[in-house]
Amino acid sequence: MKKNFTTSVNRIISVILCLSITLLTTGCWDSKEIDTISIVTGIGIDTSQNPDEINLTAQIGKTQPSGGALQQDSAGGDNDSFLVMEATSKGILSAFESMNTKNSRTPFLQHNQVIIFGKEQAEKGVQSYIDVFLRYYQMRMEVWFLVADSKAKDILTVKTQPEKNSAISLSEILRDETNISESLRINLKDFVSRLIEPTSSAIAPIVSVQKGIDTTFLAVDGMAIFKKDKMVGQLTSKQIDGYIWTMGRIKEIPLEISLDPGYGNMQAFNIKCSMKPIIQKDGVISVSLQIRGQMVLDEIKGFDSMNLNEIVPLLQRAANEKVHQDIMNCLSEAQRLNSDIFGFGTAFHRNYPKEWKSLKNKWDQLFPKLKINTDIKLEIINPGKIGASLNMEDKK
Amino acid sequence: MFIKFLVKKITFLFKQNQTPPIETQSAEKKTKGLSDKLKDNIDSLKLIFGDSGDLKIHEILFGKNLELSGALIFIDGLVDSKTITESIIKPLILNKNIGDGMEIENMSMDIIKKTILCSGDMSEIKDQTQMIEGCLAGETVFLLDGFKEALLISTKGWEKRNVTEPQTELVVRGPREGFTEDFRTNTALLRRRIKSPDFKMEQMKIGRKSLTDVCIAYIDKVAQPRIIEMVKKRLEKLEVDSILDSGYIEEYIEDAPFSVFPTVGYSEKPDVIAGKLLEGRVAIIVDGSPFVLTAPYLFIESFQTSEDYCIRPLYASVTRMLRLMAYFISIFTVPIYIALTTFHQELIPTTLLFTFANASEGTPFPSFIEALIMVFSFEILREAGLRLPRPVGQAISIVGALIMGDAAVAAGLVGAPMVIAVAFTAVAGFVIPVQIDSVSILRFILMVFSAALGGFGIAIGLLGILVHLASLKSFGVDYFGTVIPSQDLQDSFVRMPLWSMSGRPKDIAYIDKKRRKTFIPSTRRSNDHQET
Repeated sequence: MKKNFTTSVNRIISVILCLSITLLTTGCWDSKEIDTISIVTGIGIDTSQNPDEINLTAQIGKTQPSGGALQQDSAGGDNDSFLVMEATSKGILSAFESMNTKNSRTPFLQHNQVIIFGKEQAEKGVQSYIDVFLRYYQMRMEVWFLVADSKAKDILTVKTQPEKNSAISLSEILRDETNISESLRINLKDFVSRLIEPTSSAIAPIVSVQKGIDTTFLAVDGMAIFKKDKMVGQLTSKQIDGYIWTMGRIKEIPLEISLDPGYGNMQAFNIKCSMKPIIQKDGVISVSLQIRGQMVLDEIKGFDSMNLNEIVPLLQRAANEKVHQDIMNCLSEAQRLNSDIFGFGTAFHRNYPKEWKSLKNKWDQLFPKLKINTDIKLEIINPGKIGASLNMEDKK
Repeated sequence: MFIKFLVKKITFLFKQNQTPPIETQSAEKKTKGLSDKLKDNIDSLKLIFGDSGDLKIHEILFGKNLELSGALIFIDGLVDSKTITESIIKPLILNKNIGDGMEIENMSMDIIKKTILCSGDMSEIKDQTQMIEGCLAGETVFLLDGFKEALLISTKGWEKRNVTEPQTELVVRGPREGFTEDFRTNTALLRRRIKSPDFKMEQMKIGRKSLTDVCIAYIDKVAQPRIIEMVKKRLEKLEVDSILDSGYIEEYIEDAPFSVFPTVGYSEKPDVIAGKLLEGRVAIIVDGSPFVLTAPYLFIESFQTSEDYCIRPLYASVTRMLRLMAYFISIFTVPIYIALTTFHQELIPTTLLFTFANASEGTPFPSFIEALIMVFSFEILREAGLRLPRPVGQAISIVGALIMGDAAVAAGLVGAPMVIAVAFTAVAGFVIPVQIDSVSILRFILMVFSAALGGFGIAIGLLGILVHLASLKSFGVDYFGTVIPSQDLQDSFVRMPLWSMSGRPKDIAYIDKKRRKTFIPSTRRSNDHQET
């Protein structure tokens, strides 16, 4: 009994000693209080005068003390919700290092929302500056990848509404885009995986600053087309529609049809797109695209002296035609730049692994001449909440 | 070397506190027969009791010619004087036939007991110790001159609290009776619920000075003899001077005295105890305490309430899972908050991170110190509110809520999310009152771990807790038993319908394992239909 007691005391003491030595002497390793870090929400990369260097812009979220008394002071004045820091350096991390000397808090990169390349830098090439975003432990793969229509710095310094922080508002805009189609989700991971496919070309959304009535706001319209790692051109928003229809994975997409007798707006849903690469016996290659879907009529204007039974087939035909046209528009732009933004090469590789060996080397010659056969069948299944339009009623 | 030195010091300190066993027990046990002279007996009693004011010795003369002299000895306050008058004094004095037709020599205690006295509970004794013990337990001793025997007549009657609804374990639906401080009332409350003769109550007295009645209650063939033996042995081993509450017994007999987890259960409600007895557990009823102990006690029992079995199973299961969740929330919220805000900011969603950052902006302390301040002041508030009379307690809670919650945040001393986390933790802790001590201690330990090592520390702490829980045993039954998958799962995370729980807990019950016939209600319903 006594022996048991001694050994148990012995054990308790040694456990306490072990714990206190390991916990107390090592200190709080890696601990960083939340008010000692500056949370970076956006990183912009621009060219600098020196061709070997870049100009890095970091947008840092500002925190305001939430105490009641303190808040009242700052409520009246203009309170920026972020501050922007700049540094010019050879690499990205060294730029952060040099920023650190001007900042009392250490940069915290895990919450970075966007990586924006300035247009000039994008045209010079992005590959050499992407490495750090993949390698460094604080960087995340899910960050949005964007190209600015001018300088990245301008995007990160703009004040937006209602989201005060432009980087956060930008990421919200991009997240909304994915509600239309998953293929519009272009984050660092998607961009890089496109970049490493030998025949494919990457795309990235283009962001620009636009003036509103009394505010400025950011707009994501257009897509930058890359050849290898250099930006070579861009898609207009209509061509982007063509891109979405080709790539599939559409959730819901609005269709706007303007015809001579009137105008109609429809929402397409339940869309199934299947893309099939075909190699004919004579060696001619083509892609067949089959699109099936349903639409609901949301708005019509005009179409005087016509009833609904006449309007629906008219709009349906026009919609199918429009989708076809969009696809062709987008394809011709991609073929002009000789950038396989659709990943057709990869599709051929998957479906015809044997033939691909010979195709691979001449893909640059094959792609501009590639034909797409579309088979589009979108049906209006629902005329909306009302039958005939108000002005139609009058005519009768 | 250093460790050995420390061990020596500490064991030495412990040894000093251990007093040598006292040998008085055997001296008290020495039996001493009664004298046949009334005067001698009374004198020796007076000698033993000294001049205790509450010892009453009432001498009476009775018989046809008042030739018999006797004495009634009792402790004032422990007896019902009306019973003494009605059932002892009146029959003796008013019955003038005593001694008529029989010689005094032929008189015996037996005859008095059987023919004269009007009481349901009498026993003949011959030795002084028994007499004293009986006296002190509220019985009346009847001594008769010329006899070596005495009669112990039950006249217990003292002030006691009524059976009321207990302050703890309140229920919306279900029986509202609670145990009282009175031993006999408590056993009666149990007996009224289990009328089977299999329900056994073994009585003993513990405590050299207090001589407290303690009763081991169990149901024969339902409770394992092994466990009953273990409880009995542990109780018999006790050599203490007093037992003032069942908490004393709990501390002496529990398996892991240094653990934060209780290994002996308690309840204030007879329906709860009856339920546990029917599961095969052993109950320990202690005189003077409204809390009855049960053993073995498993971890999952802390999450079972009596109301679970009174309401329908679906909602009972939901509330039980809610309780389990509240338990984990109560332990882990603050440590996780500390770990997230000092180590793993990348795990917080961006907008939430900015909320946290705004809150901690301008607060002077690291979040661990913040948490310590809040948790400690909460514990102080709780303690203050608990012991004070109710009107003052309310004032305390208002001051506490205002000053602690609002002013501390407004002054920029503590971040608002921390106040929320601690408040949430505190409220969640009250969901499982039985485990409240383990919750507050574990919370504190995990806070230290998470402040030193972050999420890794919490993982280590959790692992330690699980290992400890798995190693605990309560009276030979695995403490963490029903939590791991087994047949008893039907009454752990969920409470299955009563008709589907056919067996008693597997680890605990003995031979009589079957509780009820299982039936499927739908078939029964169709049978009813056919009958009509």
